[in-house]
Amino acid sequence: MKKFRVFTVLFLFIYATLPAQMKMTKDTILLEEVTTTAIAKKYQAGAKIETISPTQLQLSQEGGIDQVLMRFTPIYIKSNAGGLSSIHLRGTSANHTSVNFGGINVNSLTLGSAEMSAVPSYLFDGVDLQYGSSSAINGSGAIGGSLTLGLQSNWTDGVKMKATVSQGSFDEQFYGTKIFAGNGRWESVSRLYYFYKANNFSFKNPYTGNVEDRTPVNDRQHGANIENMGLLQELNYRIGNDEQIKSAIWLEHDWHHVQPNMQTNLHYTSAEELDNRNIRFWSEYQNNKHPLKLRGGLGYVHDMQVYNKDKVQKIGTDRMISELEASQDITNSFGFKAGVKYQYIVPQVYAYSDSIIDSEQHLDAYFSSFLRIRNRLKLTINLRQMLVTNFSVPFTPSLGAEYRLHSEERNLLKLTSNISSSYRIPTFNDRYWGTQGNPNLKPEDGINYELGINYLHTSDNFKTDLRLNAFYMDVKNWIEWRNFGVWQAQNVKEVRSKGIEFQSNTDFKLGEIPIQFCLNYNYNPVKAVKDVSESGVVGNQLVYTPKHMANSWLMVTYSRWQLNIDGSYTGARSYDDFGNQLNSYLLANCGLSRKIQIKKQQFNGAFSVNNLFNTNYENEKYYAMPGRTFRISLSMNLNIQ
Amino acid sequence: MKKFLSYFSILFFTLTLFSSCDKNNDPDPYPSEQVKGCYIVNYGNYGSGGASISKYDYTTGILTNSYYKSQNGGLDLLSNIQYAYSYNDQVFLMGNSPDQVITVDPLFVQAKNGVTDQIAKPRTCVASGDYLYISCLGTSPDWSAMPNTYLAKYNIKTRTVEKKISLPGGPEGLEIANGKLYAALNYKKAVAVINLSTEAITYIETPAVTSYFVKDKTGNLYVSLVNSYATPSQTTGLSYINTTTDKLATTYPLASVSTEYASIMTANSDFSKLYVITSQYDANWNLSGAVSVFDVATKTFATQSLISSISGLKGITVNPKDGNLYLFTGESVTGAGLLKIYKPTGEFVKQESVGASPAMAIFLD
Repeated sequence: MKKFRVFTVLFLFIYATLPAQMKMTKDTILLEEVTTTAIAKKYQAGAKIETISPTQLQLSQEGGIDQVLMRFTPIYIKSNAGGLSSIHLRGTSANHTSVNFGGINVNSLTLGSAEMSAVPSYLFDGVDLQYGSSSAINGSGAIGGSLTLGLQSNWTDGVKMKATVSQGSFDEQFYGTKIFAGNGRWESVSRLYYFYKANNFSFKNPYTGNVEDRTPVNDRQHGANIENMGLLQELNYRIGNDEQIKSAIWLEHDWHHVQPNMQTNLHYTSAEELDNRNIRFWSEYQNNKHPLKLRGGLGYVHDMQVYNKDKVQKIGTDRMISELEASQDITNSFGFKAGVKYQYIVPQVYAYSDSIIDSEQHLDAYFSSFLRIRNRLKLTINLRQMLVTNFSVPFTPSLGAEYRLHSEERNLLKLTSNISSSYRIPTFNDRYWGTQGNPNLKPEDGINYELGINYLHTSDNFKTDLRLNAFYMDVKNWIEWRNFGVWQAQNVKEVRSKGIEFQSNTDFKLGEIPIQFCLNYNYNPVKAVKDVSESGVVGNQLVYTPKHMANSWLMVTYSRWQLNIDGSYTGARSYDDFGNQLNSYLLANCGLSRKIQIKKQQFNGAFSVNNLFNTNYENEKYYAMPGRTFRISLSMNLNIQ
Repeated sequence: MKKFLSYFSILFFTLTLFSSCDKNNDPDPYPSEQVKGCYIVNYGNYGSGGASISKYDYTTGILTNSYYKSQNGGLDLLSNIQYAYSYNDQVFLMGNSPDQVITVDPLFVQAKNGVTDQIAKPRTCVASGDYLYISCLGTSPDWSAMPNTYLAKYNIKTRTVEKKISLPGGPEGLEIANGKLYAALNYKKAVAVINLSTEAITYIETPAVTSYFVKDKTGNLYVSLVNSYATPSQTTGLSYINTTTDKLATTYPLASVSTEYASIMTANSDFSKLYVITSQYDANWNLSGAVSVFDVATKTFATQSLISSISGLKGITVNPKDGNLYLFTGESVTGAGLLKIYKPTGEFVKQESVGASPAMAIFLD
């Protein structure tokens, strides 16, 4: 691993010495890359950032973002059928992936993570997924990676409406609508959705505890209902070509039963409930009239969770956020941005004492810069320093590089590398929970080394994007709740995650039939290398972290028909520190849709099957998962004016 | 000759009959050499299984993990085991998620299914005659006040709950003394006294909520006083209850008595000492566990802890054969816990890795 780190650092410095006597790349490739590159990529050369396509989002629009990630990325999502799902990016925990909406980090400040099933795909136009550390850009928590939820600027002129209705197995219902109204200057975009699932699927229950007859029994899942609803309202105003104000408020209400495990389900009496209500507001002013571009943002977030209708034992926070940023591209080859971000946070948690914590303030100062050399080498640097009331946060730099090794009209071969430090400040619960809060916690502290190679080829009927990345991540002061005398959060271990990731996206035509195909594979050994506990396990793959993950997706479009098939492989993973394992499993989904035009209005009917082969599997030990399920949906795009 | 043969035959068969009735020739279904040992109850991870039984043979020093599994053809304990109780050649296991009462024999073989009916979040139990009294928190408990908690009166022979005795306040530890059932209330500053004949309930007020009992040789009770989040108290330690008068006789303060479950205090074989788990800060201000000693004769706690700086201390018991202290530690719910053995002087003897989250142990012979 030392060699890997040394090699990565050397790589960053040898780029500039390579000969630069190669042909300029055709504009089409350059242009394509620039137009698809998010702002984040501009200042993060070498970072692995993947954009979930709108098509993929639409195929899973009835569920949360967890469904999209499980189907179309080789990322492990630990979940049960009942609404609890957490992301484990590159072997890290759910607390180590930051989910961002505008200038807001959506992660709970009390629990540390964002519930993936409570981030509805339907409300967003795009999702950028960044693998690996990005705390220098995204702040606290972005150790394993980050998700950025995007809204596309349409500047609608007229009124358009999109609506979707779908019905599925086990009383699944989805209703969603998006209304775009504007005059090219003003724009209002309203997105609403409602999702319900009784989730009373049948399954074979092997955990009967019946000592007299051990045959698995036919059982039906109880207490796993889900009901989610949300509204995202945008109000945008284009003051001029280079000046605009954009605002979005996202109201979300997610409720679900706490799914009983299989052994309890057999003797089901009642289930407990989890109710989450969130308000997320972000407003941003952008002024690009001058070379020095200015951006200012204001936000407000209210998070509240109530367990089992006990309104006395509420867990929530309120926070105000403000951000100021200036950026300038001095030349086409050099630019920078710098800014500050301030948060004022007030916790509303029954277990906290006002004398210990009644509010907290966060201030981030950041600087980013990019440099292009001879249109072949790109270097970026990011620096961030966060200040927190009564808490010390490490300085967080990152360096990145991309080098176009080979560039011609139809082919591009890039080498990429990135070194990023990262951190996560402990949650409010970790520091202030009752008498068990630990104010002496240190922040988790990580470093991520990344090397990659990216090949792009484009021709008339064939385009492919192949990537191979290798990474090495070391996280110190990893926090876990353990019983050292009382249950308390402590800095207990050091974790090393490394791996190889292969990613391919290919578009081609068979005759006149366009086909999209993607194939991804991850190999990710993750181990604790140090543990403060006497009985701590060191050297074994972390619990609920598969070494092997793969997925594949195929879409065929013929005339007005579209066929999609996707499959995923989740490798074996242990569920405790004794080495007991859950089996690997394969899941496949497919769907068929058809566009219909009626009087210039577009409709789309779709039929899909999830878990096509009715695979019996456990994602989480002792929790049943549904077998084969069906769904029909009807979407419409209406131009009203 | 004929008469001689007849008498001889009668005598022969009579002797045969008596010798076949000799009980000493019946095979013992639970031979001591197979049963004798310390059985550690590993709670596991609530809602995610992981419970197990570890058997420690203290004469040979051999530890067998996953003992229940090996005795039951590979069957896992699906419930998290809160408590174990030995009574009349049976061992009763209180299981959570799913909630049930599991009965095993002294070899930990389970012949019949667990009882789930009218059992909701069982905590501990105590037997009297043909009945097992089980403290239960009920379905969906209100963790602030616990108004719906109860005692289940379980008929051991018919394996059914005959009655639910409403007892608000979160009953935890139970003990029988002087024909009465005593329940330590973990959410109310009192001990409940239940008349076993009439099932009438009276209360003895205590300076803090209580958790477990130890009965002394006179039939009186020591009860632990704890400071809980739901019902805080400045006073922690032990209270002594006179079970004849049902009065709290006196209180012996001890700071930071453990709020763990199942086995936070125990007595040695001659009841000269009580051992109580506490938590305390070490020199670096890290919280860890300790064992305090109460001298029953002088009615005082030793000024210094007998054992200290034990991380993740969850339970304690005393080996009735040699007086050694058995401490159970478990820092995580998915990883191995430890059995740590100390001499009565506090000298460390050895430790063994056991299952996840060991809470208590019972000794069988």
